[in-house]
Amino acid sequence: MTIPLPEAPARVIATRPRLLEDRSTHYCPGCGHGVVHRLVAEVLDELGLGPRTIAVAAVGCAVFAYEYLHVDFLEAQHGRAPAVATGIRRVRPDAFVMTYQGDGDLAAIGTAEIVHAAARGERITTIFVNNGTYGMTGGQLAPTSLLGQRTTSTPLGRDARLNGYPLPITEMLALVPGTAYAARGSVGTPALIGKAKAMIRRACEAQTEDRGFGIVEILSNCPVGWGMTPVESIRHLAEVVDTYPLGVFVDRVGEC
Amino acid sequence: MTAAAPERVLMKGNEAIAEAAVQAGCDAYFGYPITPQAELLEWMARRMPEEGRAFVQAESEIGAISMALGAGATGARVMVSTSSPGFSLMAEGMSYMAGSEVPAVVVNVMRGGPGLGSIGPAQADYFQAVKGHGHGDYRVPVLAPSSIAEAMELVADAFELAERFRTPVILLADGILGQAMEPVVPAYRNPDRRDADWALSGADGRPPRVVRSLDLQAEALERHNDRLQAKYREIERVGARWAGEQLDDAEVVIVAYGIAARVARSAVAMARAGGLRAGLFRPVTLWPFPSAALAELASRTRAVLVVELSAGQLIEDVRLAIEGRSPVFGHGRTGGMVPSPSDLVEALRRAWAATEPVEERRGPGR
Amino acid sequence: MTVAPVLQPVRWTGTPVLIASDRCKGCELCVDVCPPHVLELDITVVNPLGHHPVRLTDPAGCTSCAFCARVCPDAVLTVLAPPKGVER
Repeated sequence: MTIPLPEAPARVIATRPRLLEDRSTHYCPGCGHGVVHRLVAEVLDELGLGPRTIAVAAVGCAVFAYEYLHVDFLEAQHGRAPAVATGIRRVRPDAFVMTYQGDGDLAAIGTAEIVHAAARGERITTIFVNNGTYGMTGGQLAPTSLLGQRTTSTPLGRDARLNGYPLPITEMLALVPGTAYAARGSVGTPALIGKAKAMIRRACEAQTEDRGFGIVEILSNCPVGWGMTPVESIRHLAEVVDTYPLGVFVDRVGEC
Repeated sequence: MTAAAPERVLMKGNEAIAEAAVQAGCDAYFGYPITPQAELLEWMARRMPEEGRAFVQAESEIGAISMALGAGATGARVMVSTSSPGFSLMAEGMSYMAGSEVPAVVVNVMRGGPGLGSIGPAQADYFQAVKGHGHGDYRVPVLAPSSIAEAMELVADAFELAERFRTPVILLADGILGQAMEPVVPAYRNPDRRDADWALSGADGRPPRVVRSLDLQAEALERHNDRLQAKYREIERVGARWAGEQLDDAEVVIVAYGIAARVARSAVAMARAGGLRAGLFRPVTLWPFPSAALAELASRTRAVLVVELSAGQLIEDVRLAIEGRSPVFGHGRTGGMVPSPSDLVEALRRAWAATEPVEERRGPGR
Repeated sequence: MTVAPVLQPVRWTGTPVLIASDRCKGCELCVDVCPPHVLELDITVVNPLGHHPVRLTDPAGCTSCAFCARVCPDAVLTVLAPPKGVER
């Protein structure tokens, strides 16, 4: 006679990370914020940082990040998260301090704050979600919008003379000696998502290894802002890369 | 045998305020260079690292107030200092602190304005400071020293008030107080710390905390505003502070704060010497404003003369408090100009001449 | 003499993908990325968020690669694989 073997438990290959709250989000269907939130939750948990994280939420679609990530949060003024994070960092030596910012927040109104946090080599980690638009306010031009991109404030398409050029802010920050890690990833494919997670981890290590300021820019999609379906907007990321190439611009984390 | 006199030290206003903060246990100071308070920043740059505390010269006043928001949200004792143009930049940050209920002490050493103005003394940021400064429905306690010794005392009081009520507190000084040197007997105070079960420290063994001011649900934001208003009523109940000199028999009273009150004191003495019964009512808290005390005083004075280094800001609150009980006159200078005691005596005489004795007033304020 | 029983390893009967249907926003990023094309929106269902949630059309065809879970912005998908030594 045959007797079936008792079944061992199935292996869990992927599931909702522990530090991601079990609730639906306000983000649009297909929005890359959801993916980045997931990656941040995974990395923080894997590095054991959850209990000592104090995160700073910026102003943009992700203003509600505190509803979704299971860590202490402070809400900052638009653009000022790196300065707010600096204040936390200087009085809480044991905390893990991070900011989560969009492109309008970081590269328009917040340019001074991010540059000087990098200049100070501030031991904070910035997660920079770049979707080339002001999503929360309805899809206006952002400093990282592409030339020719139609937005609600550039209805005829971004024109270099009228609206300036897309700002390579992460490349600029990589020039600053205080920056220990600066990289650009993307949520465009499963493989790139895996690489982006590794970049997030490295940017966190710039802080935990006491090397300096760490920033990871992640090219993300905005289906509604771009006037595309979610799948179309993910495909479009392959074109964004022409203006914003992927890669690691500086990595001093491994240095002694 | 005579007891040894307490040692008096000559201290510069900016530095005295800074040292008072250090001695009051200030954990973090954030600032930016601007005249006439650069010495405060510089003193902190030396002293805070000596004490193992945080010091950052920020990239702007916006950076400074933002750093204070961050540090304050973790329950740290925080100070920021600036002067008028920088104070304008801090408005949004203060609104966030008020809405998020984060304590901090903000020192504004006022200078001439508007715009780039001058580096001379002024009291032209009264509206800004006293009416909250940033956007939204909130009030901020404002303490106004009129001597360096008082400024040092009020620093400790400011930290205490900020932490007790989870609010930013403004210490309103001016260019003369900041730059002058006076002999003081340093009497520092380090107020006790309170439990801060709201502060951010990492969600270790407890649910995460969020410090924010956003609430998109109208009903919820109204409830939050109601709570803030209840807090402000409580601060008002705790009491406005003021100081009076020669008020018992005064016919004409000068209302002035800060450096203007110092000139007014000399003017009162000069007026008295000339036979005019003058007195000085000096608000120490500009908010809460000592309305009740001023109203009571006005019902028995012939005239009130408001003296300020502005085109007329304090005078509006004086009129509101007095509600017509007594005629109100104003004497203001702008641009960094300061009236002399004889200017004020002249103004007192004109006020006296233009009014009738209290007994002959028909009805309130007539 | 008794015959020893033969222990027969079972084929895995578990489902490789668990879906929190109520959280799905029907964005189809997982449908688009699934290599064996075993995911599609279930247009007969409207979930509380107002979307057609995704469903697994052919559990046997799923290889547990977890690309779907990787691209899902809402962490709706839990991907399981058979225990070691057990065949699909």
